[in-house]
Amino acid sequence: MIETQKYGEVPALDVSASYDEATQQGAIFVVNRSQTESIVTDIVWQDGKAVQIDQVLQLAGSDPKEFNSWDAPNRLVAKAIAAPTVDNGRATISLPPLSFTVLATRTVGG
Amino acid sequence: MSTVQAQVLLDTNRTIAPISPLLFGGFVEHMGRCVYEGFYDPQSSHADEQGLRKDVLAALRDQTYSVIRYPGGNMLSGYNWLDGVGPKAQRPRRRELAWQSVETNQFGTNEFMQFCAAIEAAPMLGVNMGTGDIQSAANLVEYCNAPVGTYWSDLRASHGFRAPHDVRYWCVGNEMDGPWHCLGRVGEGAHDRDPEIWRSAGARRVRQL
Repeated sequence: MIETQKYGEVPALDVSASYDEATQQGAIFVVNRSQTESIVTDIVWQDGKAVQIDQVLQLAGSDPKEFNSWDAPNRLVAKAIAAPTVDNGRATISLPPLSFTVLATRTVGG
Repeated sequence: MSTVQAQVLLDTNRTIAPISPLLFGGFVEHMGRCVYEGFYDPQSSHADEQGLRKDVLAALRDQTYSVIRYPGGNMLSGYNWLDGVGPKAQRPRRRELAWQSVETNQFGTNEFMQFCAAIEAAPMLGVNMGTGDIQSAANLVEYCNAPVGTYWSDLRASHGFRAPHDVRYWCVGNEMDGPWHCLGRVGEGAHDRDPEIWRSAGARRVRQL
């Protein structure tokens, strides 16, 4: 949890996920709002299906007011980072402060 | 330093709701360089035979838009769709009051349909509820969607589009709750104009439709 002026105490992580039954592909979107703390996050698939993480894209920085410009177009870019392995329906990823991370997932096998 | 930890629990058997593909739509407005000198630029070496820039179309196709809204935006509240159909040489140059530019009307409803087909997106048309009225909106629906054999659908056919456009998505006015749209800005500086008048007029028009 982190303290905010306007909303009081809020969770540091904001998470949403989608799943496409037809292609068996999923996506997990995670914002780490903390300006100072990395958060070691366990992702747990509860429905027992075997899953792999195909790709992880991450946008992160140290300054909430950071922006790109014509002169400096690459201050903030999404970077592919190493996809954690899923072991027994569970994967662990460290989310840096002020980051937005997308994990592309896929159900494998039956 | 202590490690901050969190847990995310996922379960495909417990979902909130389906995600409509229509959420992944876009918006085209006659504003700045969106249309002219944007994706529509017949002078460009990248233009196809319809004047659409092939490089921009390719980039837009990559985005896989489900639906695109047109023609505005604030611009819609002063737009007469009839200015933008028919032979291009006869289309009027109009003062465009929302963004205070000159609208050449070289790109209009039928060109928008070609644009949507090119990027494989469904069209969504807005009807003018600012300076327009219910009749002009109904005429546009008939122009776009009726099979030939009526006044407005025959006009479409005479413009080279015999088959109906089959527009499924319609947008009644633009931001009708807001005092900033076109009607409210005619005569900039009229700050004493009561926004409530425009708000209630807009709401009444929406109810009528």
